[in-house]
Amino acid sequence: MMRASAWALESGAFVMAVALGVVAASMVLLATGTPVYQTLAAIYSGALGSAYALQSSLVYAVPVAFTGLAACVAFRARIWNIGGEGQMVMGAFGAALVALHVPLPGPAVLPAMILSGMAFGALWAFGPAVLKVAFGVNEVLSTLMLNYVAILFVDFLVFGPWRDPAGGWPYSPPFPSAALLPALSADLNVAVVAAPVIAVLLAVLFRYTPWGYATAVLGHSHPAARYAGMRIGRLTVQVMLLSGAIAALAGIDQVAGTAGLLYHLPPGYGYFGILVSWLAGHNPLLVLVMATFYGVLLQGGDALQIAQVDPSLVRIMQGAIIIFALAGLTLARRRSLSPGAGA
Amino acid sequence: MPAARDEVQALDISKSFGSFVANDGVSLRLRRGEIHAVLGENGAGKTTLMNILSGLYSPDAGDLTVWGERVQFRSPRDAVLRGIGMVHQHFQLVEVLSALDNVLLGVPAGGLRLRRGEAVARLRAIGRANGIDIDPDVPVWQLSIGQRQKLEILKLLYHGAELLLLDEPTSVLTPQEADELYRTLRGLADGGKAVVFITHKLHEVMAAADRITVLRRGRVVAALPASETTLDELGTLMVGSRPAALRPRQATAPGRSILRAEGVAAAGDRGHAALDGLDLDVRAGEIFGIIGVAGNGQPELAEVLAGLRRASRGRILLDGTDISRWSPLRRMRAGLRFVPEDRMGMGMVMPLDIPDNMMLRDFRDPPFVRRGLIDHGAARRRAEEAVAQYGVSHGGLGRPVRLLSGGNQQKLLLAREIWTDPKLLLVSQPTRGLDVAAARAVHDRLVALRDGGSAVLLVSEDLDEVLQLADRAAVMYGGRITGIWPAARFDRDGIGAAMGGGIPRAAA
Repeated sequence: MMRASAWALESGAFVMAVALGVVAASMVLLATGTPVYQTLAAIYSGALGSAYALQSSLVYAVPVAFTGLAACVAFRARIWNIGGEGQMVMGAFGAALVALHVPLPGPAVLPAMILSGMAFGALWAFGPAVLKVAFGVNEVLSTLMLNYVAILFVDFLVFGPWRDPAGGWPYSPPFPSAALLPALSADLNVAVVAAPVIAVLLAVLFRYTPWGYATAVLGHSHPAARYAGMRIGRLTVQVMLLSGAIAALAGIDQVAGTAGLLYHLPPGYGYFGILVSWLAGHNPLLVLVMATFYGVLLQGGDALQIAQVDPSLVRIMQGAIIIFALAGLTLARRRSLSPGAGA
Repeated sequence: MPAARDEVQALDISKSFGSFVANDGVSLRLRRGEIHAVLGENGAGKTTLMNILSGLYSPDAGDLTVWGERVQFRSPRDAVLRGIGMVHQHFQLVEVLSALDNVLLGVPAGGLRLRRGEAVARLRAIGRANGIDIDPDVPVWQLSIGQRQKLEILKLLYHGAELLLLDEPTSVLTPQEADELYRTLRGLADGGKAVVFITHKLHEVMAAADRITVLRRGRVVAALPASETTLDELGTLMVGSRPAALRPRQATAPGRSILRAEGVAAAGDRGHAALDGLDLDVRAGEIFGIIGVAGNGQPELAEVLAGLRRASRGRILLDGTDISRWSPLRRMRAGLRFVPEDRMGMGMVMPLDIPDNMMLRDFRDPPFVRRGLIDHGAARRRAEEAVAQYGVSHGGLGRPVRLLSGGNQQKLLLAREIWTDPKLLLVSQPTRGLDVAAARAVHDRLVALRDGGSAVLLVSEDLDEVLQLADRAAVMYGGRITGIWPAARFDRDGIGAAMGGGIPRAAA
């Protein structure tokens, strides 16, 4: 358990680091002759300043929260699932498959979509897991490669056989209304509630179940895990399946909630999840906080682009803030882990 | 009196970490041509003192005079430039690089060009002059532990060290390698270097050192020539009271056979035959000691018995049941508990706290699990009881066990494994790296367990430990048991000969 002093240190470091990141980003603005105050004000009003702005930030935050939770499941067991992106895309595919091509009675559609999506996400993680356990194939490479396979597979569908004949875009036909996640507002759907519920479930799983304990030991030491009678191969596969299934939720949210059809998902959420998990120290509850922070950054970037700020400048600002935040938190954690008094 | 320029002196050095005073007014005088031993228990402040001399720490108070000059080191580099080099307990070598590259790694850059030819010649010359024979081109991973240590020494000499500091240099060595190391050190001293090593092994001090400084709780309790003291006196100085002599062995009647191994064979990590048809019979109510020089299959034997390594041949019986094909978990639940040699890598999870480590092996079972969920309260209570009963000093149960001393870690490990009242406790190198008091506490526990009727299989490289504790001692050589002696007929010379591969007399 984290001590109170460590909490204070980390949150202080985070706030300071973000402030420094904003300062650094402002220097970039100054150097390019962009008005600093107006730009920052535009981020604020676009991402935080109103109920509408906040909702828009959350639309970004929800999929990042799912991929972040997926990453933290794997990372705390020191299993490097970099395939959140592909597992998310396969989740979207699995959901769309049921929504478009499986005739089901109305109330059964959504549960079946979610199960199917999670199954495909888990399947996308299963392959690398088995390769790792059976042949020692590095999961970083295998999961990363499968991302491209998943993205191109869905591209193939929406540009080809699944393309809506009625529309001009590479989209599938719209989902029937029974296949849409219940809306909570104009922009938000139930996924915004599901993410915190899953985060809490994961926190309980990690801390209060033997399985959670075993995966933590696995992350710290394989010899100790073997000595404790754990089956490393089986645990590894289980961790990957869970991670992939949760990443799939990010895709399901986007196709069955935000868009209502299958399309080429905006790239990057899978990788943002990796960052968010590190920012959160692989703690599922903090993943929620960091995903929201990330959503604000993404939505702030959108607001700037609407205000005609150069998109590459926007990326630079986002990057600066993230790098500072990650560096600050890493330093703070190293300090709170060091023995301090009494060596 | 030797001249000041032939001396390195530390005067009234103090160093604290938070509220912990590691060195409290320590003085030390080191001379060229002398081997100086710094003796003390774990936590006495030996390593801190060495780290100050080597520039890693700066002292809170006190003076350093190096070859007649007052100095203040700001980094280890300053110390190296003054001719002070240190061999750390854990070697600082890059395994994939060659011996030469490892030596050159630390060389202060004299321009961009490496003159490899010259470097090889110089390294060979230094090696020849000091009786250290290491091929400069061989990659470090191919070197034995003893050779790696010599390479570390060679590295220091190459960098111009005149004072060599060695932190627990023999803790990783076989007895033969240790003897060789001390011969090398003697040669260096005779050649005009100053040598200091730190240790808690009394007999090494007597055998190898000219002068001895004894530390206890951060203070110097004695500084004297080796010729003017005795083992008994040093032991008393070190721990503050006279160490216990041989413990009285009660005449326990041998019970039924608890662990039998029949013709067990297994491969080691590099595919060689580590166990080669080994037979074993450990009975209830006895401590069965296995003694041998490192590299004769001891860790492999422990792993095979615990189920962590596959036996390619043979049978293992626990209390009459064939467990050869059982998983580690099933063996554990059947009462075979195990204290592994690799305490930090296998036996404990260093970043986790004490309660989490107390349930490492039993986290699936009550009391740690209730209604399917982990009961952290139960783990905490177990930790509190273990800490109280085993006298573990710690800075808070919730701190990572990494911050505990080796002795305290080992006590916790024992507590966890003994708690379940095992049929057989398998312990590997239980007191390696422990100070006298902690080792004694560990021994007391093993004896109490034996007296309670359990079987204890003690695997050790420390002959004194086995002779002191075991009811029967077996020598392991070349992956087999080559001789068994009952306590009544312990014979140091015969056992020693068998350890070296000599054919023992039919003993038991």
